[in-house]
Amino acid sequence: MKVYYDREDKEYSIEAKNVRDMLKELKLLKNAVIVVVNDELVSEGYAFEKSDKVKILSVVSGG
Amino acid sequence: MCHACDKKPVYKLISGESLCKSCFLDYFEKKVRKTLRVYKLVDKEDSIAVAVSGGKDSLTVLDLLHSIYKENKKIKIQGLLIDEGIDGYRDQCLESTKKFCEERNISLTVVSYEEAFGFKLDNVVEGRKPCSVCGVLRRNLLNSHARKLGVKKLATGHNLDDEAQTILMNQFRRNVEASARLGPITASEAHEGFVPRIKPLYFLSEKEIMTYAFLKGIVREFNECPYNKESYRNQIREMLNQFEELYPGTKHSIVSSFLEILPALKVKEKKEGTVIQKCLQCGEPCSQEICQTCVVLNEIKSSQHSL
Repeated sequence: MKVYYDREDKEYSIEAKNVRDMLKELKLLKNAVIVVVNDELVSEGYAFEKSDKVKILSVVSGG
Repeated sequence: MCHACDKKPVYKLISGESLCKSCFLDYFEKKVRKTLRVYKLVDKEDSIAVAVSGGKDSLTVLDLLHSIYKENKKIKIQGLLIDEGIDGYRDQCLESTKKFCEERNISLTVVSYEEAFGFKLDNVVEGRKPCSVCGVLRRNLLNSHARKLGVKKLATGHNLDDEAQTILMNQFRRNVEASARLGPITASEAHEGFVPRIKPLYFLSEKEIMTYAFLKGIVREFNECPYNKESYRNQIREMLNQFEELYPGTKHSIVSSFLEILPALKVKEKKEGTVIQKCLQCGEPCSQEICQTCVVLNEIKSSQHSL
């Protein structure tokens, strides 16, 4: 599955089947990002479906 | 499932309980209202400029203060944006902030480094620490223009993460004096020229604010200052986030324990702290004969002349 990470403006291919495992796989911290699937916010227990469009949004302040 | 109503969860609290969209929005807004009430951030008759950058924190503060007080004729809320001159970043934020304010009928004042100091930040960062230069000049413009606008207070988007980071940075740099000026409200007993600052998001984390801003459609696009990654603060942020992951509640603990000692720090500061006077060069309040803004500007001017 492909996921987009906005802070790096980059797409990653991942093996993980849910949000929690995806963050571990990409070495991202839970408190530093939120995850949006098909334009809806999901919690860390969410299990992906094949057609999902996944985005990881950084919570870092603009500056 | 949401612990309160059994709907689909969108956020997990430090306590381990999950909240759905409507319960999360309710939780967030109650927390802001509680901070406003407990720390008396807004008076019955008040005028407040919100320092907006176009990011999630400041737009959330502006949106919330505007919606809480829009029916109250005795409380005025407006926006104040400092355009530092950072190409590809501030210009984008400026446009989205203008649109945001127009949609809500909020007055917005924009002040640029170029008109105030005669240069863009981008043109003076070479060989200097951008965040140090920017921090000093930005604080100066926010304070002086809040005064020019005649507002009684300046609201900022500072959040739990910012405060925990600053507390640690001051500890690491042995700067107790600076810590005495932290807290949800920074009153200006030291000098009448300082406009008091209020932080309505003081007890909310960056992740909670981003969640709120996303759910309310306040921000949808990522926008980070290109100089942010170079900063000392960013290193502290990453370290704190690592700790928070291992020990949830770390940031809350740092800020809560700090608030317990803050009254003692303020007493010490009042007794032993530096006397605030007017800068001999520009007249702004400061703790030295020449304020930091003039020191930075003098250095920039002298390096431009020597070219």
